[in-house]
Amino acid sequence: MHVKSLIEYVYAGRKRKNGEPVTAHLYGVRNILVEEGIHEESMLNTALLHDILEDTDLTLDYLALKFGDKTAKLVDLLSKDPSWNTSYCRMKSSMDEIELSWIDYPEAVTIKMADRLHNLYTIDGFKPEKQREYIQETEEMLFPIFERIYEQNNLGRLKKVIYNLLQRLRKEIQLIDERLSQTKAV
Amino acid sequence: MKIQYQDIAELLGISLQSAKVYLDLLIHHELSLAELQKLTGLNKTVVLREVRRLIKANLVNELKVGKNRNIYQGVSFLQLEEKLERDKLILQNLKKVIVPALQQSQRLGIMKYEGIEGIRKVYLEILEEAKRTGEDILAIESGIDIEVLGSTFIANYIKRRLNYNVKALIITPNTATDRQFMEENESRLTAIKLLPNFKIDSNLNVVGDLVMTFSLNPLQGTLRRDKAEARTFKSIFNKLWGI
Repeated sequence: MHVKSLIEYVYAGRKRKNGEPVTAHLYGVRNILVEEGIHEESMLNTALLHDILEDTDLTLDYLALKFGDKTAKLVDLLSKDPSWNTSYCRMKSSMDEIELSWIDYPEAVTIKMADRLHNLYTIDGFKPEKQREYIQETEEMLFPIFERIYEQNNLGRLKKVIYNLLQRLRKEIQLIDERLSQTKAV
Repeated sequence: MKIQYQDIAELLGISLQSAKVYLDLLIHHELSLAELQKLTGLNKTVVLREVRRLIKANLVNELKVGKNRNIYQGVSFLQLEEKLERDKLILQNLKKVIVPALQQSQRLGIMKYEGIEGIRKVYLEILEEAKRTGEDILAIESGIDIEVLGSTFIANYIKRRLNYNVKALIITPNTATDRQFMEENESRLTAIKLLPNFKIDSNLNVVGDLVMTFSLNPLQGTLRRDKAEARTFKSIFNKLWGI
């Protein structure tokens, strides 16, 4: 089964809070990676599948069966563990796992960055307060890990991609900050 | 209860006549077509047809022993048991593919946290775990350390805990701060035990499957979701508490 067929099937009719189809976000994340010169199938497939364990009842073994162990492992790393009670712990433990696995799976942090970047691109649908919280979370919980991983020496060709994504994230946050301060001023 | 051919047929998903042929092959292990005819009382055409069906169902093996002579063997109990084990294994793996809950139930979780804000957030995770499980929070804490969280946070946290009807049992060293903490906070849902000569470097909270520890210098800790570890810490706590 093709990844696109699966996501079109399981997300059929499902919308994001901004009214767009959920799949628009998944394709958005994939496109960011393509813009950064990524053509590796497991990474592009993972971009399309990165929310599937959180959003559906599909299992990791099913993903491994269909798309291989590497894609399944990457999707697992990018999925927040629902057993935690608070959103803080779900996010923190997920980021800790991504950081702990960077040697074997530097692709995970790269896809996470593309995911966050696309969420920032489409943040307009949220109330200003929610936007501020999202930016704060990005700066306090995600950036330190993105930066620590970027400092590592064994990232190969992904080092440049991570650098570019960090720049794009910073730029987007600056633009949102500016928009928010203008809203406040009005 | 006496077993009938019909029961064997239903169990194996084969016809009644196949069941008769199969049972004789199991009992006598190896038979020719002529021998099978005699033992089952079925005519040659029927026996041949049923043997073919049993071969297709992997219940009978055909062996050539001469130029024009075949004999038939019923698949042994050992082979059937092996097949059963294989099927069981396949079923277990299929379940893992299909049922997501099986993957989550024993999954370990660990996270690091830093700074006062991190510690505050993890206290809230602990509180939500207590609410979810209905268990008491078991804590080994130093009053001096807890003060770092700030009086507003502590007051709000305790208020929320009381609203959730969550009880906390706290073992604490017997310092002036701890005695003051005891005087101010002991209530129906907060029991405090002062332990003299009890030195702690790290504060500990246990509830449900969670174990949280943090220290002040440096201001950091870990939160683990590990059922076995939590149970061990609960046992240690209960010993100290005198339960």
